[in-house]
Amino acid sequence: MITQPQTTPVPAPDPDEERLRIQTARLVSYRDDGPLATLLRDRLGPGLPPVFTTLVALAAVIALGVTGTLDPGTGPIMLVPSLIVVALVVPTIARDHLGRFDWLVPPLVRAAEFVTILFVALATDTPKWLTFVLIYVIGYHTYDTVYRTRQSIWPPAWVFQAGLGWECRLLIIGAGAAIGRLTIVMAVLTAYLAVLFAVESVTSWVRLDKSSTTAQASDDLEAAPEEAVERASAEADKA
Amino acid sequence: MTRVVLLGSSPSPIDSDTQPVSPARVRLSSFVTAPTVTARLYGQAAALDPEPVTIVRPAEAGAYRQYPGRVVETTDLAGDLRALADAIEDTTDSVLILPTASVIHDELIYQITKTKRGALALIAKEPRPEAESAENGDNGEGMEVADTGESLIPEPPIEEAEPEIGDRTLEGLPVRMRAGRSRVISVGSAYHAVTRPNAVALGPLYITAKNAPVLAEAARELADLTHLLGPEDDIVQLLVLCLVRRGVSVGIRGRRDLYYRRILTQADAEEAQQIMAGIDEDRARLNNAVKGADGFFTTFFVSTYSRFIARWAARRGLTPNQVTLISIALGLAAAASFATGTREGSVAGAVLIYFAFVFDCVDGQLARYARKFGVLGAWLDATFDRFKEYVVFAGLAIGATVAGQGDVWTLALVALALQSVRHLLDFAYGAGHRRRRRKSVPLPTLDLTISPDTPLREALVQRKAETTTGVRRLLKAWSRAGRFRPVHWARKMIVFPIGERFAAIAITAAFFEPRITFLTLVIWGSVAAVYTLTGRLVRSLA
Repeated sequence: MITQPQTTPVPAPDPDEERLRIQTARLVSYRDDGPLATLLRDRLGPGLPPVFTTLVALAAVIALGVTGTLDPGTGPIMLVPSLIVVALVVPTIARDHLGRFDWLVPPLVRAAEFVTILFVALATDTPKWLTFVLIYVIGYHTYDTVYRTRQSIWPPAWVFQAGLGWECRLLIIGAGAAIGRLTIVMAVLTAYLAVLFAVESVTSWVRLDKSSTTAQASDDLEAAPEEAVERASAEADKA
Repeated sequence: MTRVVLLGSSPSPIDSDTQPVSPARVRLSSFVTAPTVTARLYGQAAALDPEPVTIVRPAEAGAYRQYPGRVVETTDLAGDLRALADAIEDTTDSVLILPTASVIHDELIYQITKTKRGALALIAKEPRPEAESAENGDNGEGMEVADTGESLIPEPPIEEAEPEIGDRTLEGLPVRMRAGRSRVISVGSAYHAVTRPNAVALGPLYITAKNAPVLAEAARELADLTHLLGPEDDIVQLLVLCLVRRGVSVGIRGRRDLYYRRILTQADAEEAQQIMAGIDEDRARLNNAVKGADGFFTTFFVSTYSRFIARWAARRGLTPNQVTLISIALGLAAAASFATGTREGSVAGAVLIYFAFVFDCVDGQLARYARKFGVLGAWLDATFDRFKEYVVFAGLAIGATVAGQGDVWTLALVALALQSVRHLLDFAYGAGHRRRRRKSVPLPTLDLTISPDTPLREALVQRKAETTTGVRRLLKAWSRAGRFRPVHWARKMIVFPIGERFAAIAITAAFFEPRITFLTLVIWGSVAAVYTLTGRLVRSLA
């Protein structure tokens, strides 16, 4: 079920606080953290600054990739990029994501995930079309989350757990490459995620009480923020 | 839901000696069933509010009692203001205020009530002197700055203008309102002076529930001051005065391609019907279904005609979701054609992907035109746009392999990852950049008992100075440069929106090989990412 907008009925919440809470919830859901991150969230103290740390992780993976350190013959080293990203980025989850530049975090996390998968997969002889499908399936989940939350329909928390999150997916890919069985591991992971996200989307939409949610004429789920601003000001300019 | 309040009292005409006739006695003979102005308006109001509140003089009240809703009898302007305050002060709905003498298109009511602004008034601006309007189109000189209303009109500068009680008229109403580019700056009355008035409030006024108590409270205060006002002061203009003086941002819009008029006499009604006969309301509705701010390719190579497909689909009874399905089928067919790896296949794929995009635009336009919106429809449309695009990537990569043009899967992977991350950059920025614990600076307020609006203007100047510092000044200059059309379109193209992406795929795939297509996507996409990222980082600093 995906009906509940995650607004817990607190008596008369301050609208400003409420707005910030939803903003954090949005950005965190766009990050797509999984079970490991959730488990560790409250045990890592204040956490690390998300933008800087994620940038460092991304740079480290790119450095490993372009220097040709990743080599299928070396075994365990294939797990290193995943470990770097997980070790650095998981501790950022505790933050509220309300900093000036924290809107950068979800795309940076996704970029770190994709770049790691690409480097690891391209270093092995994993079929590229399979990698393509995996990236699409993960991307689908992100788009799905965005397009639902933009209509104030929140996907259930269990999908993010069952979807393993970026951190568990990375560890699985890294481990698969380290033991030299990335193709089969990636095939199983891709199939699992594809079935999970597809079935969850279909059942959620079938079960959703459509009358409880209203769509707006002006809703444009795909619009970039600048377009939305331009549309709003164009409305006035034509006057 | 929307609460509808109909105002029966009209101001005394000041530019003629015609005696207004009750709209309940004016017939619109060319319309089906030849209703009276009042009957037509009640019919229109019923779509929004089955129980509208009508505020009229006792002598006319009888004519309104036959319609559903509540009739409130008042004897003077103060009574009108208090009755209006009673009608709206505890509403949980938005409020639409209309004079009972209104002749208005259904579509105009719809568009006004669908505004995103907290308050919106239908206005008419005085025509500007020719020299001024000639230069309006292309450059920013002589234009007003958007949300502060600081006027840049050359000689004599508005800073030196004195507040005045306007005595010019426009459409029978006194010109006592100063309208900026996007909102009302100041409003006057026989008592309240306005610096350089340039517009009139025609009649329809829309406010959200949040602003209703503000208006009610101010209207009550103004009701105690009516001895200062003149017989020519129109109540709608006074309501806008109340809102503006309370610091509410009242948006403005003109009639554009639709019609509104206050009917005072049967002759007015005949003229109004004649003009309305020359206006294609359905076409206006169709034009409004095309969303603004689209990219260059979409605007000039798709939206020019896709609206007619949307209208055709609406008349055939197609639903938006069915059109989405057509678009998905076309996208899959395009991918299959590209996968053949032949020249013919590539050309066919290019044509198919173009039409997949056209129908992708049509489903949204159809939904807006037919007013069939659904959360599922919006989700399907967006989700399968991505599916179409990426399945075409796969088709191209397969085609290159089939045609022996080498392995382009790596490029396809990079293009896919880049586009996905770029989209997430849009979404996350949209969700995250607005935060700010620092609240936006509210508009200034001014007590209703003060006549000149000079303090209001001074406060606006100060507010502008406070809000435009450093980076913000840069951003303002940047957005002003966008008024220059070539700059505007160049900026829209560089961000590589969906129309440009589909066009780039179609053209490069039809004439070259898939490698070129992916290189185009990756390079253009990277440039777009750097460009948007730079702009957003700067905005985050502001």
